[in-house]
Amino acid sequence: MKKIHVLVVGKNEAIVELLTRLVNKYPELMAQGTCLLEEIPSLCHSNTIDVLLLSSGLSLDQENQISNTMTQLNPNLKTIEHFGGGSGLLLSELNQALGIPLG
Amino acid sequence: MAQSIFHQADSRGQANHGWLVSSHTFSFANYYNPERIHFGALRVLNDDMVKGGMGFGQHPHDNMEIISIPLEGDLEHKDSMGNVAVIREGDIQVMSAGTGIYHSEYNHHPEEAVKFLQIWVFPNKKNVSPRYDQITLQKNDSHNQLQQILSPNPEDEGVWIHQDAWFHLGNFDEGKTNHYAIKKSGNGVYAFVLEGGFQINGYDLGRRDGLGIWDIDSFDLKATSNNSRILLMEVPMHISHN
Repeated sequence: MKKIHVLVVGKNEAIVELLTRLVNKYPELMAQGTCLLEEIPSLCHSNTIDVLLLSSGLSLDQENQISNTMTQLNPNLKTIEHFGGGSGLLLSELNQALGIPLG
Repeated sequence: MAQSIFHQADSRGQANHGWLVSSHTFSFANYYNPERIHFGALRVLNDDMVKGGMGFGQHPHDNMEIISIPLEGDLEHKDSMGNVAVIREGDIQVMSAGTGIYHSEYNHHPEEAVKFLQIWVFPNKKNVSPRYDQITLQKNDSHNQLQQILSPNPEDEGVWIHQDAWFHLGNFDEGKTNHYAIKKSGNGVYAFVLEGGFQINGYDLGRRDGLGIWDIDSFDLKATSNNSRILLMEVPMHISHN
């Protein structure tokens, strides 16, 4: 089964790490996370990113820029503006974006 | 024209982890219902019961306004800003998670259960500095009237959050009525019955039923039994933030 690739981007390292770990709990998904915006192009080129998960600390301009750049690489990219920082809402947001119940 | 949505108590998502029993009004964790994601800026309304001595270990939050209202028992809170507190029935706690905060929540009592509401509201401003506050409410101020417990204004009654939201609590005797006027045009109200029953806009609401109303300027409520208790959550119906 082809995995759905998720890229977690945010400025709070601990939260990005946690979100990446939580996403990787689902067998359908494979997540990478970064706090470094300059790392994003190389992460996008190593795998086609299906879902962009925007965590905290990014300005609206940064969020738009990341999302626009990544949409050019994958027009079917789904962008999740993540709120809450924890597992409860994360699963709900993933379900909503993917249209399939995970877990 | 007024719009409304009725959520019967037993239609909520249920989670039973043994130490934690939770009813989710909106999609949360393993409960997913695409018809029930949020009511405007109100994203989470969890009706939680935690067994004695148990609780949520340290975990992070970001970019969310988190309000906890204990209904029975005491809840112990510790966070990464150095706050250590016990919130009790009659208190309200608020946390603006902003750029990120870690906290834990445990039942303060070793044996008796704690019951509380956990309410998450989308903020109108992202990446704010995290903050924490709690206050004790004056119980008499909610007898047969609506007591404001939350607003967007630090100088106003109750706690405040980063959102154009107003929460009110009321304890009513049977037959008592009240009129609620929307504070900000475009907002809606989610009414959640804590105890007893109420009539609102032609709906008969029982314990833990919820009713969302929007596209209105005001509405009336009437208690249908003694010791009826209600929480009104006025929130923006359109989510925007900067």
